[in-house]
Amino acid sequence: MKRDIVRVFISVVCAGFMFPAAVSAAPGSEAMPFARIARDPVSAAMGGTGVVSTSASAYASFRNAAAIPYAKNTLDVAAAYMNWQPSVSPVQDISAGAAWNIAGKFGIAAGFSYGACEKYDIMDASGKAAGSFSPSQVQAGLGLAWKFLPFLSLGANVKYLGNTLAEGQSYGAVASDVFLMTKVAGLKAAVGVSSLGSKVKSASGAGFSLPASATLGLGYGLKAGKRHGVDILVDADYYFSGAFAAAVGASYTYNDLVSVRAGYRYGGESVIPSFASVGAGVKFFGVHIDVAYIIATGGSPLRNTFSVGAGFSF
Amino acid sequence: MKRSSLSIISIITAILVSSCSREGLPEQQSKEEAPVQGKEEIFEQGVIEVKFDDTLTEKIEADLKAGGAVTKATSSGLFDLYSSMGIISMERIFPYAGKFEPRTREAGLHRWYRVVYEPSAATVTKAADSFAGLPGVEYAEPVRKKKLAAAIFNDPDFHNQWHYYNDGSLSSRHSAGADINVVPVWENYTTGNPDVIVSVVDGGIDRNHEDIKANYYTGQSFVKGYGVEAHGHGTHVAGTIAAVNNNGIGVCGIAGGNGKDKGVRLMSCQIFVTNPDNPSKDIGGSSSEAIKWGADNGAVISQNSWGYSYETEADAKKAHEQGLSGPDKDAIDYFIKNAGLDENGNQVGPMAGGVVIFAAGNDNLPYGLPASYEPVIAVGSMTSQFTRAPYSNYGNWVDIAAPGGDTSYGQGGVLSTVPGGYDWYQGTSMACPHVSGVAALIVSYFGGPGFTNEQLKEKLLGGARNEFSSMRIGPVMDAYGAFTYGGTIAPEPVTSFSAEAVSNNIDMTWTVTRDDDDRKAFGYILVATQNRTSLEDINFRRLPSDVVSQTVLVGDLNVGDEISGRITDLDFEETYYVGIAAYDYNQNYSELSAVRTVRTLSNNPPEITVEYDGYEPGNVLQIKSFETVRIPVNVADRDGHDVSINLTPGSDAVKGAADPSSGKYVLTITGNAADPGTYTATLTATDSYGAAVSEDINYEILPNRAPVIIKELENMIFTYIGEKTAIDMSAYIHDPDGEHLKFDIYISDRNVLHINPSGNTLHMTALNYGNSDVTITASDSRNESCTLAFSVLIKDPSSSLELYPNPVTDYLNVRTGEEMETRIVVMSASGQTVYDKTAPVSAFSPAKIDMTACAPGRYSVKVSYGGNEYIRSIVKL
Repeated sequence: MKRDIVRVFISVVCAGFMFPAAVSAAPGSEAMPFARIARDPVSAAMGGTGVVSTSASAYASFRNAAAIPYAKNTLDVAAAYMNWQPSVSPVQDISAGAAWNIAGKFGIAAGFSYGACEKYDIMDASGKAAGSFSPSQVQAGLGLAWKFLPFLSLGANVKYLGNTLAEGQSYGAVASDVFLMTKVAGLKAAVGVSSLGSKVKSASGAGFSLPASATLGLGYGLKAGKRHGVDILVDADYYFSGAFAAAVGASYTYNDLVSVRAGYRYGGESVIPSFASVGAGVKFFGVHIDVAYIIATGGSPLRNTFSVGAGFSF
Repeated sequence: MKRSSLSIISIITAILVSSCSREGLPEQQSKEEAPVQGKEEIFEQGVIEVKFDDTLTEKIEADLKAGGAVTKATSSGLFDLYSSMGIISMERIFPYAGKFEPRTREAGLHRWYRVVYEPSAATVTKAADSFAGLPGVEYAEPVRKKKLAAAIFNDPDFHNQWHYYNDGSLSSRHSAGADINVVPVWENYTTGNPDVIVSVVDGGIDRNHEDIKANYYTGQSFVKGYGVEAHGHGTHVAGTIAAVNNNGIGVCGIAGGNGKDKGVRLMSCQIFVTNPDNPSKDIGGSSSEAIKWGADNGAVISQNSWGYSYETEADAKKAHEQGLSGPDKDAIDYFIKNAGLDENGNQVGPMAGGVVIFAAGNDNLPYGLPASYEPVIAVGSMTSQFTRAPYSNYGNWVDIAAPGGDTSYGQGGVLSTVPGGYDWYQGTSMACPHVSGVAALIVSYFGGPGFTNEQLKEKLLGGARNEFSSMRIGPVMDAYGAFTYGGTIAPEPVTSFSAEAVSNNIDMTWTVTRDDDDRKAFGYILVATQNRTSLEDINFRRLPSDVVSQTVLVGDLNVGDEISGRITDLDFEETYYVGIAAYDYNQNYSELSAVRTVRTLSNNPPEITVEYDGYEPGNVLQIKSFETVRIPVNVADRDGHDVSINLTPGSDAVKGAADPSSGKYVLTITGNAADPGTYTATLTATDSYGAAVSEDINYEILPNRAPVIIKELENMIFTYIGEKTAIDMSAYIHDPDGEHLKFDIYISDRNVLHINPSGNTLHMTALNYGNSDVTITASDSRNESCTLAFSVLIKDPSSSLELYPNPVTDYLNVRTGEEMETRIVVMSASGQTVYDKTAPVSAFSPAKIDMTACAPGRYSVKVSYGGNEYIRSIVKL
């Protein structure tokens, strides 16, 4: 049975990689792109990487539940605030997540986010102002993981994505992330599909896919003595729309107390553009506080985006 | 009835000076002997009044029951006549009167019918003749047009005082002649004399009333504890007697003067005061004292619109049978005996002795005290329809009827003064002052040494109309009849006159002659015949059949004034013997004047004169397609014959009609009612004897030329709500024909823009921010048109950039101000750039971004132009 699981999973992932060869979508044709935003400040500070992150597992339900059985802590709970694109079209986003590592064998995760978007002016067909409206976006997800082999785990998330755009105009979709992950010594690797889900229909009846991708995550943790630790993460996404994106991030931790982080994302034609990011965190008696700041070029809408969060783990 | 007709005619002729009529002719004259002749314009067109005998009336009523006197005229045998004349309707003049129908029929009023027929079928005189020739027709006459006699005085409400002059025009419930016939008295005798004092024994007169003040004399209260106070009833009665005439305000009074000379004087002998605690019940005073006080203070007429109250009819009957007693009786006797005399019995007033006039009472009973006391004059009440007012007491003891009105229908009451204004009242109380007023006029004119109260009564009662005895309220008051009553002396004959033939008419001119007992002749009868012997020993009451006659009423002309008349419809080119005789109101005829011989002339055709600038016979009038041209045409007949006009228009563009205001026949040529081309309209005028003349009028309707665009209208930008601008369309569109164009305006968004066309100018107003497409179509009268289109943008100056619609479903418009190279970048919610282009953009050339391939969601749009960068949020659905 375990072999069957691996066989099926590999078929799904391979299909995900093969699919974009037949479909090439125009920019903007993917619905609910906010599903791909890294909300937690640890991931954001590291270029948005985190598929194989085992130190910040509270947000596993947003990306990869298969990482939970490898988590350092039994339970990780966190919440964050992010001001997304403050210089262009601000979104005040709050999010929360929790993950429970059950004896290193199973994992359960849940997460929620809500984004209050900037108000826009309603204009009629002749250009006459007719009021205003504040859109909102919401995401709620549940993840399960099973380490069915000592070196291999399987995780899956199911998420609801909602977007209210105008009075009486709300859109919804269901998405899932499915990953297979392994950890050997300090090396972690995961492969799977992200944000695979239902289509969203526009007012004119056209269907739009979610920004799904085949995802590969790699990570390596290095300890230098008792006080110094370094984590390096790499994520790569091959979107079904044909776009490719990759991110690399590094974290240095001193005495398991203070961390500094940096990363870079290459967005390409994907839904999240390129950016660099930095961040820091402190951890004390299981309580951790983290911040992240996105460094983007002058023309990027992501400039000045920042995130701050707190959590507790044991 | 005959006097009624006379009175109306006298009023009409007072203004017309001369007219032809047979109303003044003796009753015995038959319809065949004296056909109605005269100019048709003095008659109402298409209507005649007919009286049938009992037999024919029964047949007509049977036809009416069968479904219609006209459509079912089988039993009456009138169907052929109806068909030939185009009879439209035939209805009773006096409609079915309910419970009063028996007495209406008894009076023969049910036999009068008003016949309405198609005017083009026959002249009214010929129509009347057609009816008159039928067996069973007693009377058939055209209806003379009525003119208000109000011109004699300028009081604005006189026309509502039907009780003085009733021409039947106020409503269908007002019958012509149901009045007191006072206008001829005002015109010929007197409007009142201040030497005559009338004591009004009643509620107090409003001495300060604008329409009474000048004729108020004095007053005395006979109600203990009260001075003379204005009272509605007393003031109304007083106004009927002597409201001031010709003062430009309010109403007229019977003896109220003429504006220049004062009328009779009013004495208020107050016996009623309004009870302040119960205004519906007056406080009474001493009537006997009041009556006597009048006699002792100069009054010769005692006006009493009051009576006694009784608990039951039996009490009233008993009192009536017992007769009047008590101080009132003695006071009345005292007034009658001593009024106008001094303490020694010498006449010092205008009349020796007085008259006491009482209202009969309003109980609809055959009793009424004190009115039934024989020495007084008892007055019953008549409505505006020659019927006894339903409330009026009645009986042989009622001496005379006068209008007391009926306020149950509009303008049916008597209009007179009340404190502070005017009002309609009804009652024998209102009838009574009509008699007092006429009595005052008689004393005013005839009064003087030797004139007695008995003479007054004789004239007053003797001159009244007796033909309405069925009302049982005495004869009907006739002021003019009273003045002319007893006249037995015929007017002086006409001693010289001129006579001249005009075609088959003979015009005669003479001077008004005097009448020894009536001052002047009432009218003249003009006679013409081809048989000289027919005029010898002629009986004017029964004219020979070969004598043609016309009557002319004197009206307000005086003795010696020139007067003229015309005998019409004689045979052409024949010798006639003509003469004139005068007659008075009592139909006493003078001798026939000397007879003159006149030969009538041949008939001349009418003449047509086109009175249009630049028109010459044979020329072609050019009419532009949009023009409507009125061409006055004067159609005259030098012989004075009636003329009919026939128009052959030549095309649908020409219509013709008589213009009553100018007396011309007007051809109206409407250019766009016919196709362009040359046409001829032919106008033919034919007189009543068949002589005709025609005039051809050539006209050309020119081809139409469509309006053209001179210059296109540019798009416009308004910068604030409420901004206005005006466009003179003559700078943009021109009509080669010079026609005023009609502008149809289409505005794509009427919430944004309003355009009000005014002539050639369009007034535009910005209503809201936004843009609207405007299409203006200019059309001429033939609907040929041209169209201008432009856009108007009402742009919020605080918003240099507009993205619309938002939310967008397909195409997003990005509008800026002036045209500039503009970079537009559209980014998804996650920051992905989905559109990035640079192109010229302006207010009227917005960038159009195809968003159909974008997923529903939120987007950011960055717009850069002129060195500035703007970011807006939009939503794609």
